[in-house]
Amino acid sequence: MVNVKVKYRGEVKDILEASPRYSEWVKEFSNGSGHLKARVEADEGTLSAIEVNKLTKVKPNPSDRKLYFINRIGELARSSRAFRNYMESCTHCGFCIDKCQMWLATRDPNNSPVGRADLIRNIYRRMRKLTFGLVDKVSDEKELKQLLDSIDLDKIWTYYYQCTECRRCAYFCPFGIDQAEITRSIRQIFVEMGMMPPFIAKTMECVYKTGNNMCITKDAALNVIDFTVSEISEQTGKKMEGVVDKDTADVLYIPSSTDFFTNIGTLKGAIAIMTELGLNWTMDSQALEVGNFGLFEDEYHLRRFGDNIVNAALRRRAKMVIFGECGHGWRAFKNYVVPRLAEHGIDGISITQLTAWALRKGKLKLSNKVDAVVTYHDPCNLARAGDLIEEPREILKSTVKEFREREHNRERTLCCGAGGGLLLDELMPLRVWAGWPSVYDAYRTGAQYMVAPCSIDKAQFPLVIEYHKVPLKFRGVSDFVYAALYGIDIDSV
Amino acid sequence: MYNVVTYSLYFILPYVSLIILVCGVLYRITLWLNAGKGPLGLYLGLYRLVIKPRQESLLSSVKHILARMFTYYTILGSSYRRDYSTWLGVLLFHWGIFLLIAFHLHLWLPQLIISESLMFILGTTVGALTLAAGIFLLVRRIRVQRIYRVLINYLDDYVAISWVIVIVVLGLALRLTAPPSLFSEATKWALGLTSLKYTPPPSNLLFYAHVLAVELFMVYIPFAKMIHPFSMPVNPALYGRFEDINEIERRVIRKLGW
Repeated sequence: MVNVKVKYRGEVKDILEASPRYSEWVKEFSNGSGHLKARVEADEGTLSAIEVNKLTKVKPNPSDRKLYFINRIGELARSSRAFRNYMESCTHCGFCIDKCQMWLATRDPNNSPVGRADLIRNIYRRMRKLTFGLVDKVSDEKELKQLLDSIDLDKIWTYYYQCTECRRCAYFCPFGIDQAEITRSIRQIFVEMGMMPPFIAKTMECVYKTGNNMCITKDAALNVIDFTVSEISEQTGKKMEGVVDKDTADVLYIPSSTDFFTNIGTLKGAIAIMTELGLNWTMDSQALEVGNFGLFEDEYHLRRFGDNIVNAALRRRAKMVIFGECGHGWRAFKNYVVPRLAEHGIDGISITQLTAWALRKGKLKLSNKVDAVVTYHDPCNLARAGDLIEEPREILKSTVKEFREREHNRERTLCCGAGGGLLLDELMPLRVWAGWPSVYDAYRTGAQYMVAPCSIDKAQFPLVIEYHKVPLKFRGVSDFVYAALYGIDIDSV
Repeated sequence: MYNVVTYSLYFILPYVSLIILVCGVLYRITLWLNAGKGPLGLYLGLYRLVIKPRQESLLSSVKHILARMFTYYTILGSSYRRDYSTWLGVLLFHWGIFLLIAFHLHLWLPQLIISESLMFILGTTVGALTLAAGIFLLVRRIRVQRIYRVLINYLDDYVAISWVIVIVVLGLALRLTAPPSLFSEATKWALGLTSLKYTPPPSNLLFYAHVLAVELFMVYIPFAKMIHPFSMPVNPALYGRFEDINEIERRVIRKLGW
């Protein structure tokens, strides 16, 4: 049973009780969520392919790992302003607890921002004993050894792989303590201990091999693009070209690799938008990926995957890089890739920014509005970390008949429950409930479609919607632009 | 003996407390700043770490930080409900402290003539509200642990708020019981402190206790959670710059020739 009721004004039931699958929640989460653990990649071949063995700095036995872990916490306190600040400035007011959708989904206090941070903060404060950070001194080796017994690395791993790094807590925290940054710091240490979930490791291996998360080779990509443009031609009667590896182009388009499998509508939208705008554009077969799983894991991989886009832009002599639909990738793109591109005089913008701008300037002529009622789910990394809030709304308002704002919108948006690298099969019971608050929020608007320009949302929400038997459909933003451009039924896009 | 004790506690200790407070806080801010963004110069690979969208300049960051410090607006942000009671408690408690500190500056401004009855009404009203809000927050702190079934409070979370409550209780009791002459005696003592000349403090047990509690609290501030008000300007999630739609427009015009 839920211990604290969270409900909408005017409703009697807790949001969890509003789901037809509530009895399953009771079975799964009555004793918290500590039983749902991300697995650890054991395949040496994969770990070596993604250079984790180069990053590993400690032998894989428990006591060495624990000692390394606490030593690194001490080092982070000296080298990372954010980490130190967040370890020292929490007043334990508890405002963050009921803002975290992981807590909303599990009601496990360890699975809340302050509970999660305190797993580390307890170690940090014991290391600094009575000074609580005043004296910049880390305990000596002997004192650290005494701490080792109290550390439960398994518990830390479990709960740090139940954080989606959505930063909802940071927005609501009176001090702006960003739990996502603590999570990223702790996962960085886990990578240095050679630990990473298999799904993330295998995805990264694909990026090493092909430049994208889905292991799409150039031939496979060309096949999908041929298929996509022939469908566009059937639906619109227009001949378009999906350009790949053009020698020189003004604009380099970086799609999400999932657009080549499940979200073809988004790929069609992007091709149509750029063709209609008359851009001299191309894709790069070595950089068919906007996502950046390095953001969830460690600095090395974040930079490596970010630099892959920079190199592609230089290869194609592009003046501008246009970023496809993706949430977490936008955070890495905007805050790492764009400043790196700027060093070479190249700009980077999002396809949603470009489309909103083109619609406002009348550069894109829509044939008619899509006959649908839609609501918009703000992806966390667009709203809180990426400043992309009004553009998707502008696009939807001009492409659909009715746009309904849901209650938790903009910076207050609820996370999909699978961000931060939690798109793991082993966490499925957690995922379907972590996504429920957002789906329920969208469902309450009475909309037919829930829309978000984010690939993780596109992978996660259909599962959540199906699990809870909600009469909603999930689509990307560019899908609607495509449908409105040519007057096509959105369900056949 | 009596003189030695009052001399040390009410003439030496105030300077010591002030020095520890100022230097301690500056030292901690320096430690945060010295920590740098991260080992490789970025926030684990990110150039920016801001949490608030639509921050277009340094000024908007400053406004954002000040709003968080003085309005506590994020507590009112709706997530299924708005927590009006906690927001009011936090607002009254912090603004009560700000006002009480401001009222105490009167000790150094004897030329500012305010009638005794007005001083009494303002002091007791603000003091009582602050006390009520402080007790509300302490009770809430215990309740939060109970309702969420989580042990989040450290000892210093209780110490800090209890200490403030003790200071306010002592101050309120002093205000209610003090003879009219106490204010002028306290003013002399306070002015003595700023001119580095020892003037004995008013001989009043509550006055002794109130001042001592404040002095010890000043020493305590840099060491533990009381550092929290100074953490905000040094929190990288609260400052930093974001581009706006105009910048995108400029880029599109420049690069695409629109």
